[in-house]
Amino acid sequence: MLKKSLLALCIVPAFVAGMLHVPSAFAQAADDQAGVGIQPLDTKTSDPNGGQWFYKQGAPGDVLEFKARLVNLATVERTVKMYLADLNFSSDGTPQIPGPGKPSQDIGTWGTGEQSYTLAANAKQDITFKVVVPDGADPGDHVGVVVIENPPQKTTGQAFNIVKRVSTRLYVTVPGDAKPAMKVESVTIEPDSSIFPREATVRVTLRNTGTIGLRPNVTVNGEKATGPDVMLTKSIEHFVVTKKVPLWGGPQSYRVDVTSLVGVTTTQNRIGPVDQVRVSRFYFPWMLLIALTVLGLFVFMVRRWLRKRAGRYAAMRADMKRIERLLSEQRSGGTTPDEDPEVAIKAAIKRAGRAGDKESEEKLKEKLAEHRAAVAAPAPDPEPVVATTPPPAPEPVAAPALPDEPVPATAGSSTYDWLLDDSPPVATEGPKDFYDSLRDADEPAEPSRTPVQSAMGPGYFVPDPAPPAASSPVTQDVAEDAAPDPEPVVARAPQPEPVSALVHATAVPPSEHVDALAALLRELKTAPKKRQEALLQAARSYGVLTLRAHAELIDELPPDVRVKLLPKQWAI
Amino acid sequence: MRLRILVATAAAAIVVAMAPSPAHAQLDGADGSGLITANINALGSRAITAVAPIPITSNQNGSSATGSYNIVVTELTRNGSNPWSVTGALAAPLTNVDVDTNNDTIPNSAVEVSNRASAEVNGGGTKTVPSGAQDLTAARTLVSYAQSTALLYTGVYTLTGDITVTPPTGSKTGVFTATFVVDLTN
Repeated sequence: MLKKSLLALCIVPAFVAGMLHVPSAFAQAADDQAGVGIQPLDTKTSDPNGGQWFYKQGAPGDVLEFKARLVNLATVERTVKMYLADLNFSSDGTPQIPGPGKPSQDIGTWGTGEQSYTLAANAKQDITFKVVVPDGADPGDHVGVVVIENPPQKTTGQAFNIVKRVSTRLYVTVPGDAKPAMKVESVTIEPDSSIFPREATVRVTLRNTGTIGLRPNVTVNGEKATGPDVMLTKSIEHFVVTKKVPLWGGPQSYRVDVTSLVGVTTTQNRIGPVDQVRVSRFYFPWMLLIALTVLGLFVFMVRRWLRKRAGRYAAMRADMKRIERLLSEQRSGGTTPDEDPEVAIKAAIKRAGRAGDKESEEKLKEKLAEHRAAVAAPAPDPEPVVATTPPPAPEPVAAPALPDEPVPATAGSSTYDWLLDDSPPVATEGPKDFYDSLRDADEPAEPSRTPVQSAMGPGYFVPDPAPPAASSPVTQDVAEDAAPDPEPVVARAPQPEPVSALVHATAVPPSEHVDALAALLRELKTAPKKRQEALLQAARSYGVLTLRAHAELIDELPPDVRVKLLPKQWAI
Repeated sequence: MRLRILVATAAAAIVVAMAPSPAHAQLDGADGSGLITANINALGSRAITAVAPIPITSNQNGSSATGSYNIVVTELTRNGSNPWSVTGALAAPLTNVDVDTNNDTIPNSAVEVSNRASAEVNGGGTKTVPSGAQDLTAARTLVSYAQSTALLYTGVYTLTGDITVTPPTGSKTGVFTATFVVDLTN
């Protein structure tokens, strides 16, 4: 019983103790190659480099005592050497510790010589070493290092034996008239890309050429560069800042301003030397070139589009001309048009729609509507309805006009005059002029008319009014009869009489034609200005008599429209 | 049985009580809340913890032989240094150990360091790695870090690079050795 209790007393605490044991990172990180490090113990955070260096002030003859902690990071025992050495800097700022055979010249000789320490595995040891400031020490800063040198790491068969040294700076200031000085050693600019740089790293190298440490402040174009807070005597330090490279590239200027405070501790605030350097670098403006290329491409595309559009407009104009030609051909009746005007207009409307030319599209639609209306419209009244005037007024008619009167191609040819953009304006001086204005330029002028008195009132006798020559044998007869006879013909001529009656009979439009004209007039009453002209021309094509038959509807038209529809000679 | 349990429990309680508590931590407060004050001193270290052997091998018909270095620097809760750097240097020229001759050496100017790089795990600071190749006529910076002296750092830094030996005309064949000094300067 007692034995078991004792056993429990030993085993259980051992388990608990084992569970509590956490191996430290220190031990985990170490291996047989690990070296020994050194750290100052008796420094303050206000000392140079935040107390991470050995630092003291001492006049010539003073004996300065420093405390340090050695730490063995290896899992084996280490015997290391400790000694002082000068710290020099190469031209690129690399710290140089004199090696064997290169004895120190300055603070490296102020120590008590090489000392040896043996540290157990993962052990630390606090040590003390002394520095004796020689009598002839120059005023100012003296910089060296405390070196912990591990034994050479020999590897059989390898070219290099390896010596690991860990050094911590040793810094002793001798009071006196020290000279602060420094200069900008170099400024290098390294873009992040040679093709398309976005950032450039500006590296400023400073050299402390004086005999006292400085606390420099380096700015590049006003932006503070990162680097050491303290610049030791004779040291070379680098300060780095990253600047953006503008997209447009070109020459970029960098102004480096360096100011400094004398001394390596924050308790000293004497203004030190300053320096300023300007450097520039040219960045090839790839982005600008790309932007210009894109812009040029855009302009090219726009021009091409405009040219294409202009081409479409030209095609539209050609279409219009072609349509007019087709309509003209149809109107003249001489030859059959190559294609159906309606189909051509529809195709042109489609093209105008594709071209985005709304105006032309609308115009074409109007033309199409007018064309359809014209096709549907009856043959216009033979104008010389006045010829129906009864014979009682036997006034002579200018007979010679008859032979010269050209036979109209079709009764409805003048219907299409409105389709000609450049058709002559309608004359309003008299009915004859008005008719002439409706003719094509190549058509001969209408012969003079003879005023006659008809049953419906005063009018003119015109020997060749509207009825088509082909479809009106009567008119043909008249023409045949009249042609050989150069003498004046009276209105009472035997042939015209029945013709007049017949014409009068046929002049009365069929009901559907009347309805079409009535529809036109109704539309005209409320039609917009743009549409009015086409409607007016379409309505006029019915002839004055047919129009007069719709006096009620004409009266309902606005006065200005009425005047346009019926010139004063036609006034009802 | 009960006695055994009692004894074991008591012993375990004693061990737990004796286990070290977190350093410098204090608990205060009477209402269940506690004020913990920790006095953290910079007692850590920064040292070279590993330098791998640097085997130098020459290619057939090649004019030079190249090896790689691999150096590990370990920080343990260490105040930042501004700067700290690692340099590499040859303590003496490469010397032929196969033959007994005093002058059979390869000068430091025939040994170059190149392709320098550094990768850190945790740790930090502004890193500067020199570019290009440099001969080892003097100590050459392998990497430099600028840290804030007001901050503590714990990190592992692995430095890599190449060392190339180009034996000059007239060099004798054999095994050459030298001492490569790695300096960590805080």
